[in-house]
Amino acid sequence: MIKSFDSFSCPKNKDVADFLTNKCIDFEKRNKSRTYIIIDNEKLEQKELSILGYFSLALKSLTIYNELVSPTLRKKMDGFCTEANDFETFLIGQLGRNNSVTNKELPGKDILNMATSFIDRAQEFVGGRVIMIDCEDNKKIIAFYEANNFKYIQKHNTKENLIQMIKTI
Amino acid sequence: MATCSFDRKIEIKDKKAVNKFYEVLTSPSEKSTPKYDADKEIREGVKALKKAFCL
Repeated sequence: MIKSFDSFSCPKNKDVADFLTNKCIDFEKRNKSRTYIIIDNEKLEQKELSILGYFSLALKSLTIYNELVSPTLRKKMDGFCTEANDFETFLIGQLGRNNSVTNKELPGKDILNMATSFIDRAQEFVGGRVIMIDCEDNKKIIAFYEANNFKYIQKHNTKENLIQMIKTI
Repeated sequence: MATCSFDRKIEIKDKKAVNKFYEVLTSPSEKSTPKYDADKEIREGVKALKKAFCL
């Protein structure tokens, strides 16, 4: 099965393929995230594991600096507590389609819908209000998530050039 | 998407971002009927993998 992960490629963002090939199993064992692969069912019936796309989910805190928010606003944001600094979110840490698969065959929207459906299920058990993505600062990618109701929050000044977008569940 | 997202601390550091965050938090829930049945997808996926590879 691990060998099949090597056939997954994503030249536009090598981190997406690298995570699937080298890290997701380790992350799974450590309960750091859960990765769901989308498989070609027809090929599977012929005993061939062909990965069309995948996504990885995790829990993540979003921390707000103390001095930025008044206790009143903090309470409004949290719902209860005037001292809340951390807001729990469901993170879609990875989401990608195999380069060999076209958007027509597997639209990005379908992968995202699948990821949010899985989050919805988790939310039924543990609560939670927000889905977060941490993605490349790229117009096309931002437009894709905006079209799917995510809102741009901020850009992080890190070498990875990432932005955060969120949506309510 | 980035692997580092799983590890790093994500902070909101400016007022503008706080306002956007607040706006989203206080907006009505966008939850609709899930497009996929997560339980069914997992159940059928595991079954198909077992059938193919006798796991």
